[in-house]
Parts: sequence; C-alpha cells; structure tokens
Amino acid sequence: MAPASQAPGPHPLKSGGGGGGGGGGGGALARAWGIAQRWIAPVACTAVSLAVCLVLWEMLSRNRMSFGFLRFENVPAPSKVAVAFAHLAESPKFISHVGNSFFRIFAGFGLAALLAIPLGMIIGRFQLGRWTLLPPMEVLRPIPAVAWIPLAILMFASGEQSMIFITFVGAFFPILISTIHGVESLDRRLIDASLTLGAGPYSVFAEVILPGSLPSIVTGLSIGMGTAWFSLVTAEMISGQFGIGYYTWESYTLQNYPDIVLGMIIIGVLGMACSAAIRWVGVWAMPWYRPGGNSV
Amino acid sequence: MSTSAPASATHGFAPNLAAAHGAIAEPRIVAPSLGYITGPGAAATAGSPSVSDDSSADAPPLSGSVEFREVGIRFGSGAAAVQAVRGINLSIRAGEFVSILGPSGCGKSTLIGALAGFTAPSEGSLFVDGQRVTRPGSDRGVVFQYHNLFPWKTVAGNVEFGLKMRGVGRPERQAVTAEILQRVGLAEFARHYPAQLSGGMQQRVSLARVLVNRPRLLLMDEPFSALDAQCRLLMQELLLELWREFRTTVVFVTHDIDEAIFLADRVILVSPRPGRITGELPVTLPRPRTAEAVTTAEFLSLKRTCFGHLRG
Ligand SMILES: Nc1ncnc2c1ncn2[C@@H]1O[C@H](COP(=O)(O)OP(=O)(O)OP(=O)(O)O)[C@@H](O)[C@H]1O
Ligand SMILES: [Mg+2]
Repeated sequence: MAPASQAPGPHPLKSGGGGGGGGGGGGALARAWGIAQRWIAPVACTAVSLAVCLVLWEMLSRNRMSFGFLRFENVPAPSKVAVAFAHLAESPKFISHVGNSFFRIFAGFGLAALLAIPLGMIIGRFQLGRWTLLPPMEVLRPIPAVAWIPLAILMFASGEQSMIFITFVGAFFPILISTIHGVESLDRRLIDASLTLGAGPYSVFAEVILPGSLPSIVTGLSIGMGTAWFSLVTAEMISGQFGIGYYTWESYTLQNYPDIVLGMIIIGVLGMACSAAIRWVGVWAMPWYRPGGNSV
Repeated sequence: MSTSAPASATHGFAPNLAAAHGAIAEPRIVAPSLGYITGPGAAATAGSPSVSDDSSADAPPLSGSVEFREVGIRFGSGAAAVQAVRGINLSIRAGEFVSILGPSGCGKSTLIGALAGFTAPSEGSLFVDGQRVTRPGSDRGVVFQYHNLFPWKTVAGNVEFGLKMRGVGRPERQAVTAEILQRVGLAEFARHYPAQLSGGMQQRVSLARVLVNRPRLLLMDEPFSALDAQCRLLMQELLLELWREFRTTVVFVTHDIDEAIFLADRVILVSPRPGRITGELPVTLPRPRTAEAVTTAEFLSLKRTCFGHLRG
C-alpha cells in the first residue's frame, strides 16, 4: 500500500520508508515460532522449575523425612500453607498485619529518604558539610539497625514509634552513602557547563547535581528498601503488635506452623513488590538513563 | 552546507527575510529572532556580571575583544608546580576569529580555561571588553572536544538551558530553541537524549546550546578532533556560517594546521610547555570560505609558513 517512491521530503535525516510492511504467510509462521522460542520457552522452564521445587517440598513434608540434623517433620507442606493462606485472606487480621507493616515501611523509609538525600547532597557537595556532618554518620553506620532495638524501646514512647525508628535506621545509611557517592562522582564538567551557561548556585543544585546523582540515589533507595524490610521484620518479631513479622513470630509461639511459612512468603512478596516499585519509579524518573548502557 | 551570501558585516542582526522564504530547502538564520529575544548587547547585561558591559546600550554590535597582558598560569605549588603558560601577550579584536595552534601540553586548554573564568591567571591579567575576567559566565560559551551536554536533558532541554537560567519564559524558549535546532540541522532530534546522537550531532547541540546565549566570546577547545574527516569539514563550514550570523569573537584551539588556517583570521602559534606565543600568522584567504579553499595556492603557502614556524 505504501507508495514505493520516496517523497522528496524536507527531512533527509529521517530514515527511509516505513519498514517491511506485509510479509507472507510463511514469514508469519516463522515469526510465531520465534515468539514461542523467545517468550514461551523461558516461561515454561520457569514454571516447571518452580513446580518441581514445590513437589519436592511437599514430598519431604508429607513423608516427615528426617536426615539426622535436618528434620522436615515440623515443616508444613505447601498444601497446608495454601490452606492457611485461604484462612488468613478471609480474616480481617490479614489486612491489619500487612497494613501495619506497610505503614511502618512508608513512615520509616520515607523519613530516611527525606533526610538522607538532602544530607548526602550537602556532604557530597560542600567540604564543610563533609567535615562536620559525616563523622557522626561514620560512627553510627557500622551499628546494624537491629542492634538499636533495645535502646529504641527505651527512647520512644510507643512500640510503634520504635519500630518506625528501626526501619528508618535500616534504610537511612544505604541512601545516605549512595547519595554522597552520586554527588561526588558527578562529572565536574557538567557543573562547569552549567556555570558557563549562566546557572546560579541554586540552579546548579536543582538542574545539575540532583538529576546527575539520581541514578546513584535510586540505587541507594532500592538497597535501602531491602534493609528497611529486613530491619522492620526483626523489630516486629521482637517488639511488635500486628505487622507481618509479628504474625510470623506469633505463629511460631502458637505452634501454627503453616502460618510461619505463610508469613515468610508474604514478607518476601511484599519486599519484592516494594523493590519493584522503586525500580519502576527510577525508570519513570530517568528516561534518559540505561544502566550499564550509553547513558553519557 | 549553505552557500548563500553572508549577512554583511554591518547588519548582523537585521532580519533575513530570504531565509524565511527558503526555509524548506535551506533552513537557516536564527539570528534575527534571537536578536529579538536577547538583543545585541543582552549577553553582556543578562549574562554574568563578572564581565559587565561597560559600553552604552546602543554600542556597536560587536563586543568581545580580548586582552592578555603578561599572563602566566601555574598549577600546583612548590616542587610539584607546573608552569603551563608564561608571558602571554595577545589582543583579539571584537568579532575576530582566532585559532590557537600548538603541540599537546603547551597550555592551549589552560588558556581557554582562563578565558572561560575557570582558572585565574597566576601572573598578569586578562580582560574581555576591558573588564577583568573573574569567573564563568554565559557571555563566554565553551565547546569542548568531548561534549558535556546534560545527559538527563533532551536536545531541546540542553539548548534552552541558558535561556531558562536567564528567566526567559517557556514559549519564548521553545521558539528560540526550535529555530536554532533547525539552523544546526537537528530540528527532528529535539526530543532525543544526547546519548542517542552521533558525535557530530552532539557537537552541533553543544554549539547551539552556547549560541542561544549570544556569547560575546565563543571558546572552542578542539571541538572537532573526535570527528571523522568528512564530518569535521561540514562542522567547520557550519561554524563559519554561524560565526558570521552571530557576530561573536571566536577563540578556536586546535592542533590541526589545516583547520587552524581554514577557519581563522589569524593563527596564534604556541611553543611547547611552558607555552608562550612564538608567532602569529594573518590569514588573508577571502571569505566566505568553503572546503575548496584548502586547495588554493594561497592556502598552501600559508601552511608552509606555519610549518616553518613550528619547526622553529
Ligand atoms: N588542573 C591541572 N592541574 C595540574 N596541572 C595541569 C592542570 N591542567 C593542566 N595542567 C598542566 O598544564 C599543562 C598544559 O595543559 P593543557 O591541558 O592546557 O595543554 P593543551 O595544550 O590543551 O594540551 P592538549 O593538546 O593535549 O589538549 C600540562 O603540562 C598539564 O600537565
Ligand atoms: Mg587541551
């Protein structure tokens, strides 16, 4: 249908025609086969692999297998976990546990990002900031968030606040360190370029330093999201009321063994979802950035 | 590239109506409407106050004279100190196109850095339009060998940056940007990111980004050395056209003798480190110049003189 002759258009830089249009029936078959190979095969392999693992687990649990030091007699089978999930999904407890954990993550992680990003930019940009603000950070950084739990319980009025604080501590340092690194490794020539184009101090920050260190900041956020979950679940197990970590530990003390595994799976899925959300925000905020690719 | 007649030296900012009519076949001329936005003297008033305009508002359109007085630049201190250039005396007329030619490490980039305001002279002083250079400003645009476009901004975003910094409103910015992109042949790439362009296209964006500011001084540090021969030639011709339209002073650093002669009104020869000016060569080739100029006897004789100079 497309006109064969090239229009003598004023757009010499645009590449020629609209590409190969139709194509014959044989081509379509080959293409279908190509799609099958590219998409269906890997999906099928993944599904089979996961199914085999599930079946193996089911068999080990059902038969109460024991290998001396490693015993499966108390490990619930996946079928039992599925039943437990159906129960939990119906009860209002589910929303309450997940909702509580999510709120703590949002509060703790959000506060950490809100504080760590500007702080990291100041430390990365100004010598004075580095001299004055970095030392206390360096002292606190090696202390794992979990080690803060006893002190946090003493420091804060409510368990809720102390758990948010633990989540905050877990997320804070990865974000801070990545932000500092992002600012420091920013190509100096880009700042110079903005100065020769008339940028003032504020514009240098907003137009160059922030976007330029964004890839590093997003990396820090996704690492921080992982450590935030890790810290939160531990805190909930020790001092929590509600929350998915609390649910998992409570299941152990109440000897609801299928619920333990269910809690673990939910923790994994929620963590994965949060990391995916960060990655998605990163891609959305940086359409120009292709990790490991031709970004500059 | 366009071979249409140059705007005569005396009406650099006059609207070029012919260009508007010929827009489809030969998109060109951006100067008129840029002039409308920024005006001839605007670069000085709106740009950095570091080299402020001392002349009156209806001064002649040409500004951008340069004066090096006994300039020496040293890096580091003590035993590790490196004297990059020494005793540089050089006057450049407003609107002149000067090439600086010298071996690697002789301090060419150092001189560009000093003019841009990144490096302060250790000795002597440096003036642009009679004002001492103290810091970077948008009245002096720089284009480097390897582009320093903002990777997170589109081509249009990069080009309009200077106008944005100056507080020009969005519609105006977009109009001016579209026009100059058209002028450098990149209208269709406005929404692309720098990483999606070829080296030659990136340099054209760099040039456009600097020119929207109407700099009185265009500083170019081996801008075309990373390009292939054919692309370089097109870029050189484009640069000469833009120089004519924008009436700016150009200081062009290169180590390519042909390029230095082809472009410039005057070639400044710099010795190995510590760099000093060992001679200068006025280039009398007629303008406008096209690629054929390099085959003329006059060009070859200039080149021979240049070689002689460089051998000592
Ligand atoms: N920031 C710096 N710190 C220390 N020494 C420097 C610095 N910049 C330049 N130099 C020194 O100054 C001298 C001149 O450098 P410059 O980059 O100006 O040379 P160039 O003529 O541009 O060389 P090329 O043609 O290779 O680009 C060199 O010996 C270099 O070592
Ligand atoms: Mg150099």
